[in-house]
Amino acid sequence: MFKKETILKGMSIMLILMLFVSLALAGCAKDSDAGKDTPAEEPQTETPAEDDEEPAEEEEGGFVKPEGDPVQLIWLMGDPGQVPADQAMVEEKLDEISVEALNVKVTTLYVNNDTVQLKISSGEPWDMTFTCEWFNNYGDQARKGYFADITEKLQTITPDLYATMNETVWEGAKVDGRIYAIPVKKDYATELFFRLDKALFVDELGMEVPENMDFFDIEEYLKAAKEAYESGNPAAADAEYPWMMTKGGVGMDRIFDMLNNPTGLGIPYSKVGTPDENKVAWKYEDEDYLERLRAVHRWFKAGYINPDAAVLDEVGPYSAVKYGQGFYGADAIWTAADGYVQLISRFDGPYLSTQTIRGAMNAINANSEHIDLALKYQELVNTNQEYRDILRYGIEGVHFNYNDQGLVERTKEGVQRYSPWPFSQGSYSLSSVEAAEGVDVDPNMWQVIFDGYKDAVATQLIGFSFDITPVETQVAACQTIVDKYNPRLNTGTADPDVEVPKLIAEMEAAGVREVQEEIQRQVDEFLANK
Amino acid sequence: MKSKSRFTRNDAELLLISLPTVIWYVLFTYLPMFGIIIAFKNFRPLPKASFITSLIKSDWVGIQNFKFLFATPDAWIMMRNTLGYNAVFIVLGIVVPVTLAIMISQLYSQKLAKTCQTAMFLPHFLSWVVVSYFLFAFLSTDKGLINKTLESMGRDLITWYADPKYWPYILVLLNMWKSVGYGMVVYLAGISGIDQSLYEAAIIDGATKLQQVKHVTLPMLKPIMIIMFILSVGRIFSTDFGLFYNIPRNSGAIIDVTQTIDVYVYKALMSMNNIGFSSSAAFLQSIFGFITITTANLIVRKIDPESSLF
Repeated sequence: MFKKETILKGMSIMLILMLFVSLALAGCAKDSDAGKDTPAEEPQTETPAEDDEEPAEEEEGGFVKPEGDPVQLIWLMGDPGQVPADQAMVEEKLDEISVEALNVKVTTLYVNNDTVQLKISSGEPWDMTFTCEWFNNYGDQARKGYFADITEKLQTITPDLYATMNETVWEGAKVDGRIYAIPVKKDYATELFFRLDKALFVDELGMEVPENMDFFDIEEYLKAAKEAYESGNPAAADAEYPWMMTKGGVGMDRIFDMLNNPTGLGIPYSKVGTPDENKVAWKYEDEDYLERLRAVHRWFKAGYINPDAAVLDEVGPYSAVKYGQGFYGADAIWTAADGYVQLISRFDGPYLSTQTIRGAMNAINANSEHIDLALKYQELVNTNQEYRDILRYGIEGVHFNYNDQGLVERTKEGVQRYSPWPFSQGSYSLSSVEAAEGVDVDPNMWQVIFDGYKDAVATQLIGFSFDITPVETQVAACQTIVDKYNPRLNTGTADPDVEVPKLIAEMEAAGVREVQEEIQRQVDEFLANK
Repeated sequence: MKSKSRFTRNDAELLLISLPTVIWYVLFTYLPMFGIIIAFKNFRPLPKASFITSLIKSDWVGIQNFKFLFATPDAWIMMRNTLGYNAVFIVLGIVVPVTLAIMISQLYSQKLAKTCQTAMFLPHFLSWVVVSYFLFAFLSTDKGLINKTLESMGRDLITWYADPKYWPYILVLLNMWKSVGYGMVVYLAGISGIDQSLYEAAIIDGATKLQQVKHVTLPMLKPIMIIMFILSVGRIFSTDFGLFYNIPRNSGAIIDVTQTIDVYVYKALMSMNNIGFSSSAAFLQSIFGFITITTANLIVRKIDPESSLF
């Protein structure tokens, strides 16, 4: 064995070395900080155009187009599962337009929900990011101060952008009365659809797919598909399990305006217009929701759902029955994306709430050196159709072509090499509508969609967002419990009558009631100040 | 005896050899250590400030971050799993590799010994993510190898990923499968370092193979076994994240037997995005690890001063 003294000597040398290195590094850190350290004033109180002293072309609100080399902005976008291979090529094309208009270039990074939050919380450089209720949690991130407050700037610097959407939408984008992100102009209300394989159900089995159906009506289609498979019908060869699910299962809780997603607390739309419309309820105690869980469990037992669903992260594109959040005309998008003709039938919605308005938004980094420019750039994305089409579809002639009706037909190249999330990149309704083989596409679909919202069920809480800070530990604890049960409940693997009572007991021990009371308190306060 | 204070050529060479490791440790474990203060802060990046400035200027929140670890009713289950699995791993992690090392060292064919050794070592290089897919090929409910076999034998299918009773065995088995080769190499090296004259003397005294093992090999291996034991005891509050998160595919039904502290912290970090929570958990793990490692060493020193680590 070693002599103890030798070890001690070695250790002391190591300690001294360590001290030197850390001192040297600390010194470096201090030097580089000194240059960056600005007085601790709020970014929004600074005058616009702070970055550029030189007088240049004046525009609205004192915005000044930067001179010299183009400014490089970084835009974090949702990872569509596969980073577009031709991204660099498309960016080059995009830069041509944006450099001329604003002297700005944009780099797009595709990141998933976990990465984007770590990137932001660890202070990595970025200028704009995709954010919403279910990705890069808008309300929380805005409250934590990561996003720039653009309430006034929207109207002074980018009035054209502000004019593209109505007051209700901007109201829904507010957190504590301030706007921190630009909603994507798209379907603002939630509508959920079943997506059915046309070849199997209509052409082969002669069934009809109505425009609307009840959630429970899907059972007869599942049953028919399963029977067709069992009788050896070739059209149903892939329908051994007519509903192929991942651990996400089927979204059944959209009948709630979720005020806090991890715990499942919110307002059921069924209560809107009743005296209980502002009473915070819990989805696991909602009879409508439980009834759906029971139905899915029944379907699972009948063999309509793949038995591995609760542990799968992905399944292939084909499933005789699917569901999705969509809108009038979404059948074309799904048909084109999955490569087989789908018919859609609505089973939930339209519901309008803060959550649904925040279905997709883009925010600007509060720490960015180019907040005004990024905002101006967002205006370009949301108002310039040529730019928006390139951003969504790629390069004309390579990735897509316009047909006679002005619809977009994507090439094989485009589908494989440039497929970002179209709904996340700024005004969805501005970009040209995509054609799909086998489906009639209405070029004016967006008009029909927006008109349809006149009958939407709207909650009283538009503009409300829950401040999680007082109960953060309880929510974290609840989240891990929900993760334990949800994949099995949402795929029907577990019997809700057995599992839900267990879940309720565990979550009550983790403090879900405190979260519920806190949300209720904040809701009451919001309504009192409204 | 007073040691020489002069720096010899030999020392310089040794220092040079150790330099890469020393630098690695300084950069990646000692320097970041000041980040422990994140555990006591509500960290937020500040406008136009570097990470360190933001960290220093963030608000102090005391022990707020530590509360979340105990806020869940699963706290004691996590503790039980972490300590329980580690205890089993520590015991088996000594017994199995030592046994195998002795058996292999007794093999007459050197070729066979080397082949066995390599085959057992290979899993060490596989990531748990890769292994989780191998395992899924066996255990998948509708297409898995085992269930297909059961089906062809006319037996009932087993929903592996939903039944907690199998998982303690699966996890222990997989952990041994992956780590046994590595431990075995350490002990084999120890065995080959044993002075052959000891065996010769034993043979002359008429000792059987078993007696040789009992009276020569094991006593000579004891110091290595103790070092390995103390080192693994120091990590008793930490678990191999890949084994407990990727292998069970994060399946909810079996989480009561698969969730360890690290898995819980990862999930909380990913869903709540709060660096303070995870830092406080890591800090606690380190402290408890330090306590257990010093205690273990203390006990060893009491019993056998020669074998203790420090």
